Amino acid sequence: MLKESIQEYARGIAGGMMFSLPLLYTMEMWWSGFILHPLRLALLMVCTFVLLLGYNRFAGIRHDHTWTEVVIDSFEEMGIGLVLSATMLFLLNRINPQDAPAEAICKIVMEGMLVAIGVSVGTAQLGMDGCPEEDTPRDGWFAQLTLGVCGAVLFAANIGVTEEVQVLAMESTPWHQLGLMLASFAIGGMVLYFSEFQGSQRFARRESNLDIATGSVLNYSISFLVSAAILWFFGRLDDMPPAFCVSQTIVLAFPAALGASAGRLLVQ
Amino acid sequence: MKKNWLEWCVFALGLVLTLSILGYLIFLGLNRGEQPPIFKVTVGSPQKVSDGYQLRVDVYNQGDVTAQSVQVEVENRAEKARFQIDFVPEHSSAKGWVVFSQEPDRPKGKVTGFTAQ
Repeated sequence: MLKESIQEYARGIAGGMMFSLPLLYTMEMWWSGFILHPLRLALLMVCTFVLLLGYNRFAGIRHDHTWTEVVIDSFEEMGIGLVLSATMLFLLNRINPQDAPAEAICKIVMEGMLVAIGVSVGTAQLGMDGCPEEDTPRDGWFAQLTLGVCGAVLFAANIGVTEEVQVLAMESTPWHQLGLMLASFAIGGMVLYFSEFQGSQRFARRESNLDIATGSVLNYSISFLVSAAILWFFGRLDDMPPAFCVSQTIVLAFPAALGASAGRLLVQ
Repeated sequence: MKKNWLEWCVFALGLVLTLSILGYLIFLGLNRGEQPPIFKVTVGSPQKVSDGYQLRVDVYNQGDVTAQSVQVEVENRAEKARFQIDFVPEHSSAKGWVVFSQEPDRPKGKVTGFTAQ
């Protein structure tokens, strides 16, 4: 019993590292930690917690979870995420005891939230496939929406924080952006409906062409909104003209669309 | 719901950490002023090096906002030396060094420019 939970935490730690390592090694992330307003970081914590609740409810192999257990698991993952983030930032010498506490805590929160999502995904995905996959609650559209958001966040957060998104948005013409939108749209539809991706038949209904169209539209909508939210969190949309906000979101929506489709099927 | 002591400990740690950090951030956010960066520049005592005299400069940001690309200039007799600091967070200090060829005589340091959000 004790051994099992230690094994589960070990999987969580491995997953947390795996999914968040690029961000721990990204300069803009440490900077955001002390440039962003503390209330924005507080909101980031709340949103991450809500996302963890959704993911823990609908993903993974333990479907007999009650909401109480889901809440407990989510708090555990938040704690592991914060501790892991602090440990890694210390080992990388990004925080040290001489820092102002506010600065260090902001950095830890900034990095820790994606680590927490990684811990959750790792715990659910890296374990052995024990129980038969019947009667899972994740067939509903709300479950798929939640998992799609998780996939999009996992893929897009790593890219959204970099300055490259701004550079790409600045140097692309409206025609490039239109092309990128169509490509994002197409890749979502391709993964969900044509590629026989693992799990795609079960979780993406395709009884008619209308299903395919609505599914692709939904996939791109999730990607666009998640991209906009990520860019806003990182302060990329502050004081920017609306057209530039939209083009940045379009640039980031491509990785998000891949995450919301392929990522979603992988992290079920 | 069967949980062992380890799982309860991790849960308690997570609960305490999450809620206390969330509370701290909200406290920090609500009590944060809007004072733009104001600097206090302190020039340390000279140290003889092969190229001349090296001095440590401490730049303290008294404002409530992080300053970026902070240009620091130190004047000594007719000589000027400069460096740039990427970030000086609010109510924190950052340091740099300047080198003069002549022996320092009450060198004066100041910030000549910066960006902020």
